[in-house]
Amino acid sequence: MKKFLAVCLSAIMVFSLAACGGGDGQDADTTTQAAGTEAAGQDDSGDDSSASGETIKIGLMVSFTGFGVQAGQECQALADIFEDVINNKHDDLSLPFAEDEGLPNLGGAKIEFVVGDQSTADVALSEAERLITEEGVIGLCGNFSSATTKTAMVAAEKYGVPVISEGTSMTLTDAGYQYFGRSFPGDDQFIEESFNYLDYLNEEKDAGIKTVALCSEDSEFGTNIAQVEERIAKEHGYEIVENISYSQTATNVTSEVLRLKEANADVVMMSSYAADALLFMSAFKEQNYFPKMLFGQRGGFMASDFTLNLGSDSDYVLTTSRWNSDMDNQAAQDIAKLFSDDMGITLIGDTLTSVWDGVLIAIAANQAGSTDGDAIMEALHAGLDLDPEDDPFGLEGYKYAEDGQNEYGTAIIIQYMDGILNTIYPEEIAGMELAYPAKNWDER
Amino acid sequence: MRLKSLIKTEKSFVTQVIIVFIILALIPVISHGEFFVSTLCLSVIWAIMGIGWNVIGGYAGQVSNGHAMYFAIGAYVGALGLKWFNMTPWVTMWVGVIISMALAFLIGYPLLRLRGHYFAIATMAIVECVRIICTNWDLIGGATGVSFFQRGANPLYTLQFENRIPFYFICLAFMLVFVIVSRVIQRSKFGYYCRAINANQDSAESAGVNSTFYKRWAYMISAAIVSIGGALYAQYIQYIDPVSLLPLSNSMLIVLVVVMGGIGTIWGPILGAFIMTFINQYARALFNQLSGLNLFIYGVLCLLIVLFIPNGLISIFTSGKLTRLFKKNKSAAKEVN
Amino acid sequence: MFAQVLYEGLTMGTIYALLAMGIALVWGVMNILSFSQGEFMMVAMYITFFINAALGWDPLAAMPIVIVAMFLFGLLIYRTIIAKALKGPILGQRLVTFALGMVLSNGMILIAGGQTKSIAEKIISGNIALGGITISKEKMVLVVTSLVVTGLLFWFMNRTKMGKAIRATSQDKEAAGLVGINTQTAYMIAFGISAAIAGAGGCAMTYYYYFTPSIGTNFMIFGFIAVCLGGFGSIGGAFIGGMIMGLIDLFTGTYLSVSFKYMAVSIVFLLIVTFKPKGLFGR
Repeated sequence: MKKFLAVCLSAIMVFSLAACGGGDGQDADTTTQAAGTEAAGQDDSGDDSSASGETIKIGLMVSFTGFGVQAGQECQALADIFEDVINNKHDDLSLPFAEDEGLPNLGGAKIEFVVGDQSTADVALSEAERLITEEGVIGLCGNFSSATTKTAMVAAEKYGVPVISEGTSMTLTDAGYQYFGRSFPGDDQFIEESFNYLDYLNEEKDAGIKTVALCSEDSEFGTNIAQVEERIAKEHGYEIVENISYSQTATNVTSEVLRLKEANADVVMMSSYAADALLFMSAFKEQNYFPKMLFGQRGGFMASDFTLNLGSDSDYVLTTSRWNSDMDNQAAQDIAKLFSDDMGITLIGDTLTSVWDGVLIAIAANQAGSTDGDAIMEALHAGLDLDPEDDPFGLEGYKYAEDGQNEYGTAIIIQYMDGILNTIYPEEIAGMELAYPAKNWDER
Repeated sequence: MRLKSLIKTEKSFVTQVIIVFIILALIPVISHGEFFVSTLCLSVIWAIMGIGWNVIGGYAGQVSNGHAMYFAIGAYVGALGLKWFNMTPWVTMWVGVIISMALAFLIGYPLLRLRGHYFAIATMAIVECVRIICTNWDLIGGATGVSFFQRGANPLYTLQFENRIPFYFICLAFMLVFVIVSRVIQRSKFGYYCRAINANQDSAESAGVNSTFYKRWAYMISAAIVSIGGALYAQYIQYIDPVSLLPLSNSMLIVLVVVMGGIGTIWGPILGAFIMTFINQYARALFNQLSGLNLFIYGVLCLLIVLFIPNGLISIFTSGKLTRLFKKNKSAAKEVN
Repeated sequence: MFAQVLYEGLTMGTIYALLAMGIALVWGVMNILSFSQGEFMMVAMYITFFINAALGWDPLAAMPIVIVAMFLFGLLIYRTIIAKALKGPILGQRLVTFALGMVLSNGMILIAGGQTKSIAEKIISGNIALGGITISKEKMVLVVTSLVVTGLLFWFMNRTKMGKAIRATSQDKEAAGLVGINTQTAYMIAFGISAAIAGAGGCAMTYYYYFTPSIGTNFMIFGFIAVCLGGFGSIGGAFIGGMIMGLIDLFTGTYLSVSFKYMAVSIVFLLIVTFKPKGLFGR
C-alpha cells in the first residue's frame, strides 16, 4: 500500500508541475480576451495589456519533422524578417507597416510570430489549441496542408480565432467554416488556369496539345488535385491517357515513369512533395525520358529543394504558383532581397504566402483596431485596406467571401530555365516565353 | 456474500482504483487550461489503447506491431456513422468493436501461428495493406479523409464537446471499465493460461493448454479495446485520414507506451501513456525554435527509459526502491530534528 | 518494355537486399529486429555528403572511409546501447532500436537541417542504351556495390575465423562460449558489420537518391519483409527475399496498379508466411 501511495504522490507532483503550465495558459487566455475587448473599445485606461508595449501574437504553423522541415525553416526565417519590418522603422522598404513601429491603430503594438508544429493532422490540432489557449494568438497562418488545416480549424472554430491557410482543397471552402480564410486560389482555380493556359497555347501558339497524363501522390493533397484535374481536363476536351496515384514515401518510382513513358502524353501533370518530385526527376533521367511538358502543381516542384538539388536539370518544368521572385514590383523585390540576404536562397511563392497570410491577419487586426477574432473576420470580409505598393503579390485586393475565399486571388504559371523560376503566364507580367516542347535529356 | 469476499480479496486493487481515479478526476478541477485538458484526454485515449495492447502483448506475449489497424477501424466506424447516418458514437463504437473482433478472428488464424519477429512484421504488413486500402477507397473518404465536425448538435450525442472536460470524464469512465476488465483477465484462468503461453508456449501446450484458442481470444479482446480507443480519438480530433491514423509509428507508439510504463501490469500502460503523452506534447511546446529537437529529446528519453528501466516505470514503485527512498528521507528528517 | 521492367526489378531487388542483409545479420546473430537500419543508411548518406562537400571526393572514393566510419559507429552504438539492451527483455531491444532511429533521424535534422541533399558531381553518370533497355550507370553503381557486399559477406562468414565464430554464436551462444569463442566480441563485430553494410549501401545510394533525414523509414518495412521472406535471418535468404520484392514491386507497379504495388508486396509476404511460417528458406 505504501508503494502505491508513493506512486500516487509522485503522480500528483508531476501533474501539479504540468498544471502550473496549464494555469499560465489560463492567464494568457484571459489577458488576450481582455486586450481584445479593451482595444475594441479604444480603451486607454493604462492597463498594461493595451499599452504601447503590448505584443500581438500570430501563430505560425510549420512542420518540425518529416518532409516539410525545410519549408518550415524557411517560413520561420521569413517570419523573423516580417517581424522586424513591422515592429521597426524601415523607410526604405515598400512593405506593410515598414514606416511605422508596430501596428498604429493598436497603439503601436508589436507583433510576434509564435511557432507551432503541424507535421501531422493530430499534431496540428494539439498545437493549434496550444497556440490559441496558452500563447493567446490572434490568428493562425503557416504552411498548412489541407489535412492539417481541417484539424486546426476544429480548434479555431471553437475559440473564434481566424485561420488564413493556403490549403487548396475545395473541401475547406465547402465546409462552411466561419473563421477560415484563403488568400489565394483553391485547387479548381489553379487547375482551371492550367488548362486555360493549355487552350491558349493551342490557339495562339499552335502547340497541338491533345493528351494529358496525370500523376499525383496519394495523400489528401495529390488526390484532390487529381480529381479536379480529371474533371476539368474533360471539360476542356483533353484526353487523359494515364492516371497514376503513387505513394509519397515510395522507395522508387521506376514503374510510374515507365508507365508515363509508355503513355507518352503531350502534357504530364504532376502533384508531388519535394522528396518524391526529386525521385521522379532521377527516374526520368535514368529512363532517358522527359515529357514534352511537365506541369507541376506547386508543392515539391517549387520547393527550394528542387532547384538547389537539380540545378539546370530542373529546366523546362512548369508549375502553377501564387508568386515568383521575378515579379516586377518594389514590394516583391524588397522582400525577396531581404530573404536571400538572410538565408542565401531564393524566396519561393509558397513560403512567402504562408507568412504573408500572417501579415494579412495583422493588417486586418490593425484595420479593425481590435484583436478580437470576430472583428478580424469582419475586416477580412469587408476587404483589406492595403496600399497596392506594399503588396508583393500585386493583387487587386483582399476581400474574403463568406466561404473564406479571397475574391481577388490569382494564379500564375512559372517555368524553370537555367535553374531559375521565370513567370510565363499571364502574359502581362511574363518574364520569359514558354519553352516547348521540352528537350529530352540527351539533347540538352 | 460472494461480492463481499471478492471485495475482500481485491481490497488492495479496489483502493488503488479509487485513489487513482479520484486523482485523475480532480486534476482538471485544479487546472483546466484547454491545452492541458486536451493533453489529459489524449493521455487517457492512449492509456486505453495501451491497456488493450497489453492483453495480447503483455499477458499473452504476442508482440503485435499492427494495432493501429484496430485503432483506425474504431475511428472510421465512429466517424462515418456520425457523418452518414448521424448515428451516435455511443452505438457505433460497438459496431467498430464487432468489426475489429471479427477481423481479429479472421487474421488471427494465420497470424497467430507465427512466432517472434515474424508475428510483428506480419502485423506491420497488414497495417500497410489497410493503409493502402483506406487511401484508395473513395467510399470511405479515401485520401481526403472524413470531416465530421457537427455544429450545434447535442454534445452528449455526438461526443464533440465545446469544452473538453466532459469528454475527459467520459474517456476516464471507459478507462475505468478497461482497468477492471484488465484486472479480471489478469486474475482469471484465461489470464493464467495466457501468461503460461507467454512464458513458454511449447510447455504450455504439452500441459494441455489450447494455445491457439487463448491467443486468439486475447487478440480479439485486445482489438476490441483498441477499437474503442480509436472511436474516442475520432471524436477528439474530428477529422481523420489514413495518413494520420495508420502510419507505422502509431503502432509502435502503442507498444512504446506499454513497455515504458510496465508490460503485463495493470497500471503500467496508464502510467506510460500519461508520461509519454505529456513529454511529447510539452516537448513540442518547449522546443519549438529548432526543428527536430522535440522528437530528438523524446527519442532520447524513450531510449533511456527502455534501457535503464527495462521493466517499465511502474517498476520503480513496485520494486520498492522509491518507498525505501522515502523512508530514508523520513529517517534523515528525523535525525535533523 | 518487359525486359526493362525485369531489369529494373532486379536492380531494385539488389537495393532492398542491401538493406535486408544488414537487418538479417543482426537478427540472425543476436535476435534483434533492428528498426534503426534504415537510419544507419541515412547517416551513411550524410557522411558521404559531408565528405563530398568538405573534400570534394566522389562517393566511390569516399566509400572505404564511410564503411570504416559506419563500422566504428556501429561498434559505438553496440557498446553504449545494444550491449545493455541485450540484457533486458526482447521487446525492449526492439524498442531501443526504434527509439534510436527516432534519435538519429531527428538528430540529423538538428545537424544538417531538413533540406534535401544530393551529390552534385559524380564520376559515373549517364545512360547506356542496350538493345531496347536503358541502363542507368548511376544505378549500376548500386547494383555492383550490392553484389560485391554480398560476396564479401559470404566470404567473411564462411571463410574467416571471425565469421565462423559469429555463425557459431548465432547458432548456440552457450556452446560457442564453451569452445572458447568470445561471444561478446562476436556480437559486437556482427553489429559493426551490419552498420558497415548500411555504410556501403548508403554511400552507393547517394549516387541515385536525393536524401533527407527521414529517408530511412521509407525503406525499413521492406527490409523486414525481405528478411522474413528469405527466412530466419539468413543472409542468402535476405538477398533472395530482396530480389523477390524488387520484382513484385516493379511488375505490379508497371502492369497492374501503382497504388497497390506495396500492397502486393505485403500480400505475397503474408501468403508465404501463412503457408511457410518460417519463410521460404527457413529451417
